Amino acid sequence: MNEQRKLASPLQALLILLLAAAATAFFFITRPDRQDGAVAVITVKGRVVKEVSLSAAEDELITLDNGVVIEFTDGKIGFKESGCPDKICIRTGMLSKVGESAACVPEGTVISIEGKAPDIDIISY
Amino acid sequence: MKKTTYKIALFGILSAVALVLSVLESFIPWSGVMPPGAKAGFSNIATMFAATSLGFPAAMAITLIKALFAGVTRGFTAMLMSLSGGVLSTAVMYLLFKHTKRMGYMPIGVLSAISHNAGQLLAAGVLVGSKAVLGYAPVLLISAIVTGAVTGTVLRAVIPAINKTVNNMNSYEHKGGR
Repeated sequence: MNEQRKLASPLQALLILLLAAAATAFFFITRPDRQDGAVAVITVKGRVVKEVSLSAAEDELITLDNGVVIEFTDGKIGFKESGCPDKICIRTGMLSKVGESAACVPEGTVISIEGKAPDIDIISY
Repeated sequence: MKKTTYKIALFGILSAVALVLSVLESFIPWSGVMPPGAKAGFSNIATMFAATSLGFPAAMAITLIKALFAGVTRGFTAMLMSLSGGVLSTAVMYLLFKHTKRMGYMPIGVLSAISHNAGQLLAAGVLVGSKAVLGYAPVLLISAIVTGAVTGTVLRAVIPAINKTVNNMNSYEHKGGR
């Protein structure tokens, strides 16, 4: 195989490997953890519309003004129904750990799990 | 064949290829394979080809056409997401192609895929008014490395073949094929 036909040089492969390692590290560092007293904060277009304590005993089906339905069962919360085309919000699944979030961009709706101290934010790791 | 005619024809072909690739990609059932929100980004192959062979304005024009197409077929939000990711990644790939001689297609594919996601997250954050969308960043970053490496490698394999075809066409013309 001559130089012309090679798909990637060793230097390029190294660059990709370094990037992949950095990304994996980033993935593990930012991995959310379970925490007592976690609260699910639901925002629509940046405005907090509802807060649900994840330790609440009762299951709940929350219908927002924009038609989005959010399900809370067994200490987990997630999107159940939305009018958006891609359903990325529903596919994100159920959240239960501090730092996790699910977003429905077309509906402007975000669920994020926050810890007890309200000044913790997920990007300041 | 005149240079400008060639360029116009190539631009049309690449625009069409970009749209076809994004439609084909949407037919593949990605759920389970790709994390939510991630995409293969095959149409970036066409954009990258345009950035190397036709220059910055043509690559940007294809990005705009892609965004308009997303707007028509999948709605306003999809258009803004396509636009924000596309503009940033096209700018990044063009600058890398222009200013780095030895970087190669694969790393450029990866870096432009990462900037595509970065642009989209930025737009998503503005649209929902919350930085909580950054929760999607770690998985998107990992999938961008994989998909960017794939698109870059495809381009690396395809470009010599296309250049060969173009050279053959040119030599045909010189032999009196006009």
